[in-house]
Amino acid sequence: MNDTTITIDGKEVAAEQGEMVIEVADRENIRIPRFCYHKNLSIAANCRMCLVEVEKAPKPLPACATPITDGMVVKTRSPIALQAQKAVMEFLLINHPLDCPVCDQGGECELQDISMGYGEDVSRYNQGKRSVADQDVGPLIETFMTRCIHCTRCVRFGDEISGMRELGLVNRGEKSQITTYVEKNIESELSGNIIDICPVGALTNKPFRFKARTWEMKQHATIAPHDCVGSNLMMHERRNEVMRVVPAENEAINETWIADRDRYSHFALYTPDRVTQPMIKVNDTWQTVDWATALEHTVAGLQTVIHKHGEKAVGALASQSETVENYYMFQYFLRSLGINNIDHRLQQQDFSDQSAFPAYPHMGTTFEKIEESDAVVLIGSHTRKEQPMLWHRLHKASQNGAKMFAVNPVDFNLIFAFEKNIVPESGDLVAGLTQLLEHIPEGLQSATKPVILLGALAMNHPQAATLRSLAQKLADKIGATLGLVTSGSNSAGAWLTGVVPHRLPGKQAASNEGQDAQAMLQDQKQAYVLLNVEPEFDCANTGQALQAMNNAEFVLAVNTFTTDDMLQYANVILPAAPFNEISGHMINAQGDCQQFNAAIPPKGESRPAWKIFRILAQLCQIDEIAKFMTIADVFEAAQQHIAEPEAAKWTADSKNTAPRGTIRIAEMPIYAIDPIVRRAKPLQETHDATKVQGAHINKATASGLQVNTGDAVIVSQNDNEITLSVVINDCLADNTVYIAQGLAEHKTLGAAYAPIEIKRA
Amino acid sequence: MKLNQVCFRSLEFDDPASLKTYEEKVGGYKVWRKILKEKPSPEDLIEELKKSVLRGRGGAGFPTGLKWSFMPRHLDGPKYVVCNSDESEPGTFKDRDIMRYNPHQMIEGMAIASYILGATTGYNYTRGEYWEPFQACEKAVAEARAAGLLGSNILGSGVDFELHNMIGAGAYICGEETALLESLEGKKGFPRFKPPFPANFGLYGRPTIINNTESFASVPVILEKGADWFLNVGTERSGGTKIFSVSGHVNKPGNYEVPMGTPFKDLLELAGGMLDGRKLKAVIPGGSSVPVVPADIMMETNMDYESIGKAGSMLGAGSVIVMDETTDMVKILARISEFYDEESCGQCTPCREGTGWLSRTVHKVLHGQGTPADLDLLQDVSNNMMGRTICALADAAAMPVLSFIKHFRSEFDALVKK
Amino acid sequence: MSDAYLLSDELKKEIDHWVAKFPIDRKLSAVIPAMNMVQDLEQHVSEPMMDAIADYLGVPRIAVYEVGTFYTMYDLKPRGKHRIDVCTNVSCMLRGSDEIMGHLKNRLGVDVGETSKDDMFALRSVECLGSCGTAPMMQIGKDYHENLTPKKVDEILDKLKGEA
Ligand SMILES: Cc1cc2nc3c(=O)[nH]c(=O)nc-3n(C[C@H](O)[C@H](O)[C@H](O)COP(=O)(O)O)c2cc1C
Ligand code: SF4
Ligand code: FES
Repeated sequence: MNDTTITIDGKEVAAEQGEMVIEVADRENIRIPRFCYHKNLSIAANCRMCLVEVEKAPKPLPACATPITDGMVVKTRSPIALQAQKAVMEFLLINHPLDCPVCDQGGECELQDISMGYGEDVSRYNQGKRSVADQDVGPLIETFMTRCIHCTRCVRFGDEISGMRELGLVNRGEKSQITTYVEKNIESELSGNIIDICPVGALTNKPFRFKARTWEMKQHATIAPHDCVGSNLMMHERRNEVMRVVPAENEAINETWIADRDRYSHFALYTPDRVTQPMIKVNDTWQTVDWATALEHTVAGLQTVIHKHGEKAVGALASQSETVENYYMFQYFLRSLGINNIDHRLQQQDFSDQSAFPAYPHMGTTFEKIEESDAVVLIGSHTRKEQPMLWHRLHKASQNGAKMFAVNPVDFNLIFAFEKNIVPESGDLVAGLTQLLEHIPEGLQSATKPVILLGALAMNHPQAATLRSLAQKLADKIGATLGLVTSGSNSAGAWLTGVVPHRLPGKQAASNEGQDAQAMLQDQKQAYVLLNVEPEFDCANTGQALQAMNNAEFVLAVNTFTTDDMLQYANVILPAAPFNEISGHMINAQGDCQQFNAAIPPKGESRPAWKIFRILAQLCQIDEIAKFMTIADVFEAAQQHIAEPEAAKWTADSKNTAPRGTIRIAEMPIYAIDPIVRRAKPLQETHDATKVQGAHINKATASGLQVNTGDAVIVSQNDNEITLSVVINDCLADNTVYIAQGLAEHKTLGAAYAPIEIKRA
Repeated sequence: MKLNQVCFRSLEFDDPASLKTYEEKVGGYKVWRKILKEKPSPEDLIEELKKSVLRGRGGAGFPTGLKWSFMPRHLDGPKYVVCNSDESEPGTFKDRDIMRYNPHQMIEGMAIASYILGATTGYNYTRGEYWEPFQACEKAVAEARAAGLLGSNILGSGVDFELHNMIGAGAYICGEETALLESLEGKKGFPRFKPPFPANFGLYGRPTIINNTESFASVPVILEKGADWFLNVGTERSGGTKIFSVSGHVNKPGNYEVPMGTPFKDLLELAGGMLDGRKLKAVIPGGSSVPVVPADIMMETNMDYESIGKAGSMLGAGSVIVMDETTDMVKILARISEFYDEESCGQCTPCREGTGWLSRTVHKVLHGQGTPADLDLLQDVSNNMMGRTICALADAAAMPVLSFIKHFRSEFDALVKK
Repeated sequence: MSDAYLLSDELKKEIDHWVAKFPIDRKLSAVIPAMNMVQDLEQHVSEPMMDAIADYLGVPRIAVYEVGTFYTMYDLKPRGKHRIDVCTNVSCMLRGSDEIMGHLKNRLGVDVGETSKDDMFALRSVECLGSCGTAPMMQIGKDYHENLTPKKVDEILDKLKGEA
């Protein structure tokens, strides 16, 4: 480290062998202009903007591609350097439209910024400018290719980061063009990043187009609420309305990237079904009321049920993406009333080993360390769509030569090549994992830093406990770190604050163990309390959950949005402010407890959920509630329970038997994962959102049923039948039918990995 | 003057491209067989090459022995030998004839290189349009393989060398060595930033030696006759012979392999003198990329690296374009500039934007629409392109502009003053 | 979905022959020869054929489009049966390529970049083809025609027309 000294602009600075001049300069805050260089992409050295003078070199050298040597003397602003930079700027501008006033990039354009310092007032170029046709590349990105300066950052991004070569540089010379060549959507789930890396306004944010100028917006740091990566975001807001979201740099978490889900989900925040006023149902009609009335109504409703049927008659479900503070007050309020049926594990089906869980589920390693692993085993994990930024680290590991293995219910396209990818029949992951365990491939056996990850499709499997214990055996055999990758953004926080039926905050066993999410739905309660849960979309067995809601006497929804069904089954809807309108903490898969503040005030009458539960507690005359005056008080109470990650030891087996026969495979698709993304229009227009519709079966199953893609089939689960259109997809195993969860059309169906009947319509 | 002593030594025989002629008449593959048998130390062979002062014949003139000494010979894993037969520099047509008439010598040169460098695979990359030369090389490789001179465990020596001919699809830039490697990898010909040089990071990221066809074809003769012999044929700092491709206004255009240092006068005479007895106006001595030299200077210049350098130009690939007194220099420059505009890969800003700017401006001048300011602009833009890009194509585009305006300013002035 | 089925078995075999010349994980290297063979067979390389090659080699389609649009020998759209590539670079120019080009334009009734009405000949002006010693010259298909005169050009075209 820092074994070398170089001089930049007269300043002697420490540097490391192998570093490029620009890296050292950046560290020292010596700003060298650049367009093609991006620290998280390979070096192209094609824009030539970063030319600097290096003593003893006969000509200016590109700082981005010139490795330092001991004693090197670099001048970034000498006449030679400036002349070279100015010349490059002139070349860049001859074909660049001067439309900054109408360009979406105006005000944050690297070309505009840098040219201010160099541009000649009068261009010496008086020939026609090049113009390039634009392309429709889908709902998320707008192109304006005449502005492109051919830095190839976007192309390298596809090659190196998204793993999908979608954009290319075609033609040559002056006619070079960035394009998909054939008219087609850019489909990577990380695609929006090319908007940020494009230094000019060639690739811009389509839904944001013409919405606001950069200088009109204020930015606020926040945390992405859709998965357990906890990507750092900057939210840009104008007059209390979120205009757009961009990444905030955090090398340890999301580097400089974010997933499209995090970038575009904010478009859901202002949909018509957003609740901004407390609502109560009186005589089957909804009334918008003031808070006092609504709260009174709530307390009365709950107390009536408790009076009539006892505390056990109430079930409480929270989403998987609440803040620590929301979770804490949620369970505090409920437990104060003696309600113990509390859970957030909405999609899980196997709870047999819940008491063996560590304080909270953890990935067992860090995002950065994953890159260094030499073998990775994914068990039930569609990582690329579940946690795109975690997938990115795995992709890097694979690019670094790690051998990849998987046991998955579907042969998901994860882009990196698998050494072994087991896709068992009937979704029998236990059989698949057993097979891997019994014949451990050489590449895994010999790995020195292997990592095993269990994803949502393993966590939500009816034999999840067995999968964990088998994974444990494998980990012990090969000396791997074993981790769980949970759904939602803060399952860790939910565990730590006791939003599980068997534990109080801080891993203390509950003296009165409540029922888990499945049991309390199966068992039909008289009342339910929901925190940002839409049971007909979010639960493992949506058909059963919907029925439970419909049959309940009293349903309280503390939610950001309503659904059609909710308006039927709920009795009170209290407007909970979404993540961007509240402050709080979330804990990601590697155990970072990240704090964030509200970007804008809650819309209308909405309130942070923790405040809603506090005031409910007050109204229920819970004595100690007075100590929770501020959010800091709540966090302080919760914080003492936030422990370092502990290593788990999984030994228990599941009580459930292996799925047999024709089985439904289901996942929460990337753009159906929570109430916010389900409403984000730009995301719903992507191929990722539409391609998960229908009943997917493989060729063999299709020919058995004598159906083809597009034909109608009738599928049934829970004694409910629905008609779907067939998609033939050879990524599916025999005896499996993929029907996504989280989609309105599928809500009456049952659980994943459960038998399903399918027949020709 | 003795002609055809090195690369064209098979030309005097019938069926010069055949293995039979090469082995029996020319005495080819003698060095290769000897190496296989005696396994001399690669270091000694490199020393011999260094001593011969063989300089790369592809254009840059880098000493071949020195280049080979940079290759990490002892590194494990695949290493490659690549022959640059892309030959697309306007005015150049020598490699085509080596491939058509003496391909085995190129193959022997590559085989020797593979031994010296510890490579077991070689590719000869021919430009896409050279179907006939490519076929000639395919035939020769097949012959050599059948004779057991290529392949694995060659002649029982334990030495392996597999050689493949590869063909491009039309792109001047693929003559630039790193662009060629990209093209061999199945990509566009985008030159790579150097360092790292191909010797360390070449084909598929592996150590690679890449040389011109004529360079490889010179190696067997050097090792057969000795470095001293080769050096003595040429000049002190430009060893050996060189094939000059003479084109343009001469009576007998064609390839002439003559000793380095041959006076231009003599070369012109070999090429039959000026067409129709007209007067010489100017010569581009090394392919369209190098500065043009006016007649009077050229007539006093010898054909070797140093002398042509002193005359203000470069020997380049030895492509001698001869222009007589009737030649419209602005029109020639316009055509040359158009060429670089057409062939720029488009990767680096100054080249992508500058080549078109230059070409359009020269054409403007040619068509009488230019202004005196345009001539200054041309020089300014050229200077702003030189030395500012990944590869030398931008320099190649700029140098003709600067030299044509410098030496033939009056012709340009006449057009802009009209 | 893979479009590789568009390639004939024979072509696949020839592509395999090229693939075998390169390391196994470097199939992209065979893209140029594969495209050349398709161009030879069909006089152009259509988008579906580029897709087919990409899918057959298992490389991203855009990588093949990049190659197809970069190299000058590929026609991505159908053009006449014979493509006449006339070198107009300096050495040929000095030896009268203007005259040859003028003659061709007249005879075919087309401008550079166009195809004759009978779809027989497409005319292009190309960069130096390395035949400067035998200038002026043109390439038709794989063949070089050197030391051209208008008369010689006529003979060549007549012969090609006769073959049709
Ligand atoms: C634009 C450009 C075009 C070139 N074209 C050729 C070529 O056609 N043939 C060739 O041998 N070298 C060509 N070169 C030079 C090669 O980059 C390289 O220097 C050469 O192949 C090295 O071989 P040598 O040392 O044997 O000359 C070209 C260089 C540039 C910058
Ligand atoms: S579109 Fe933007 S990122 Fe891509 S090459 Fe052009 S300027 Fe660079
Ligand atoms: S930033 Fe260095 S060349 Fe582009």
